[in-house]
Amino acid sequence: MTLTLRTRLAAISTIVFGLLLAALSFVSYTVLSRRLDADVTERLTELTDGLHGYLRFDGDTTSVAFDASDNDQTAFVHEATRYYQVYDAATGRLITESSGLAPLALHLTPGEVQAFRAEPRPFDIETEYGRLRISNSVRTVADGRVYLLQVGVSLAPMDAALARYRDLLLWCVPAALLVAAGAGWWLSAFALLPLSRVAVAAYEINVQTLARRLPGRGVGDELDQVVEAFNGTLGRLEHAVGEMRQFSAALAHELRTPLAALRGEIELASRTPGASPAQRDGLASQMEEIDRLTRLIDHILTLARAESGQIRLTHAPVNLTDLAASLVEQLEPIAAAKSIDLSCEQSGAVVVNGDATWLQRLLLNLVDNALKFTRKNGQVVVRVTREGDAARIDVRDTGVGLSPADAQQVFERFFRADPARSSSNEGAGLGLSLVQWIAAQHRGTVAVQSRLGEGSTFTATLPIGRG
Amino acid sequence: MRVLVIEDDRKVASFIQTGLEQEGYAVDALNDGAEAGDQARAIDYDAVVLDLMLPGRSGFQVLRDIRAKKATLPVLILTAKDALEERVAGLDAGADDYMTKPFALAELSARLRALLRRGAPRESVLRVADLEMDTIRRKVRRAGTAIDLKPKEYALLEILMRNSDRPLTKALIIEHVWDIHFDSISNVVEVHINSLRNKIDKGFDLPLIHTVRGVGYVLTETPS
Repeated sequence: MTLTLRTRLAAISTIVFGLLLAALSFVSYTVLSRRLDADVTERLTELTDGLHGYLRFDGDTTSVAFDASDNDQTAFVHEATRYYQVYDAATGRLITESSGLAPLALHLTPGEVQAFRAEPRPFDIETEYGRLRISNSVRTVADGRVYLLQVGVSLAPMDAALARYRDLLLWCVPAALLVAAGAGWWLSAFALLPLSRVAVAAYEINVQTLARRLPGRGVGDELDQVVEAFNGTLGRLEHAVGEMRQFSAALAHELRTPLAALRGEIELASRTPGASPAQRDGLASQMEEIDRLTRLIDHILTLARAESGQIRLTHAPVNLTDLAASLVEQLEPIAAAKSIDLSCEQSGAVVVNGDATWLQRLLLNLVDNALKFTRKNGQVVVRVTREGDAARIDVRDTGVGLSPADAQQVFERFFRADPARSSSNEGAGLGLSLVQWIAAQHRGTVAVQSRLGEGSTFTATLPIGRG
Repeated sequence: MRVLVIEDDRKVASFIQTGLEQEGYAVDALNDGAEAGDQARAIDYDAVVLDLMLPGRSGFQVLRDIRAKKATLPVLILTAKDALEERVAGLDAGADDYMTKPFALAELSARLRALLRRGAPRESVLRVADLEMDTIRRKVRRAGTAIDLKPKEYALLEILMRNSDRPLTKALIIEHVWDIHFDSISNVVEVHINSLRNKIDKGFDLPLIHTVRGVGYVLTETPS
């Protein structure tokens, strides 16, 4: 799958932005949760240490003593005694249990009490009211008895805050990503706009308009460098094409002049009185070969000129139906001489916008080709129909047909299917290349359907231009 | 009839000179364009055969030089340039005919004859031996018997009769008889010549249509 530069730019900016947001979210969430956790732990230490100051131990009972008129003390003790319990560290028996903890029935086994006595560390538990963090501290009173004090603090406010923050991130990050993607899409279009202008201008340059140059913006940015580089390439191309055109003209001249001399000398020699019939025959045969060579050069040059853009087609309404009918009428004697039935099928006038001379050439080459490869008593049918917005020319023959491999190459230059199957050795395999070129010049296509031994149908499809 | 041949390739110039001299023309040949215009104006030529790619002075400049003084002197351009645009440019510059190399001498002389005949009244009834063509009524008779011809056969016979005793090349015949560039289907002329032979010569002792191998066809009662 290929993506446009615009898509890729927008995607890259979105991905980078997304990764950045994700990293930021992760870091901020981690820092916040650690910070809150540390705060809770600190508060728990304060509560535990403070409660030790208010607790009175008396054998198997404990009590909390504080000044009830002091609001600060009252509030502190209220908070510290919400979740607390006291164990006899020696026996592991629960001595006191606050009203907050009682419903949770968090009762340690004597073994657990011993373990906490040996290593008094805080731990977290899950309850139906949220998480609790519980501290362990060991107190040895004057009579030598040892107690384990557990004080709890709720982690629910911290968890709720973290959950809210997490929700915030889960909503805001995708939303921000969407906004970033949109902005990236728009921005990359904005950044690429001059580039697509360059592309449009470049598209309009063809082999006939090579002298054109793309306009730079004169700001010397990266885009101007691209334009400059492209213009440089155009310059070199223009030079090369110019040389090629000169070459084809020079080739025509260089080949034709000696051929002209050769042919003239032979023609003069054949006029000489006293030449034997065998000599005259030999000379005539040489002249025929020169004529054949000349036709070949003509075809090559026509195709070379066509493909290097030196031929300009005119555009005027052309009645394909009439063109085909007149062509068939003129070729009929040739077909009749080979006992081939050449006919024209049509249904109403089909008019395209094009060059009559070249369209006639297209038809002629197709019919000529069909006649060449059709045997005695065969049939060649030319059909011109309209198919939606296109004109369709079918030239169907009952000739020798093409193998699938040959059918693929039939429009290539100098391609000739097995010459033994042709009824003549005329032609150099250039006629169908020219057909393809003419069709392309009319923004059309040409295709072949064929079965070996059964015949071929060549179909040219030309769009019907407006006006 | 005096013809000036301006052609830079000496071999080509030489065989044109020889060939045309054999046909009874007086021929002067020049190998570059520098003095061509002056010579064409100074001597009273009947026709000029002009190459376009010349050393010294281009064929177009020579043509302008000639036209400046002699507006009606027939000029036939003979060049290796064969593109349609080049033909149009040559004819627009004032040439009367345009031929591309390589070419048959027979065709060159046929075209020259046509140029020289230009302006002369055209015969309305053509005759070769006992073959007769009435170009006004478009009727053909041989030995008094009317012959029915298709339009292309008629046009083919007319050009053969107007150039009787002179061989015509296939290219020249195609150019005058067909409106299609039949260069790829070269047997279009053979096919029509055959059907014409069937109608004109079949059943008569003296065949009139003859094939000149390597050149083309001729209509004559005295084949060489």
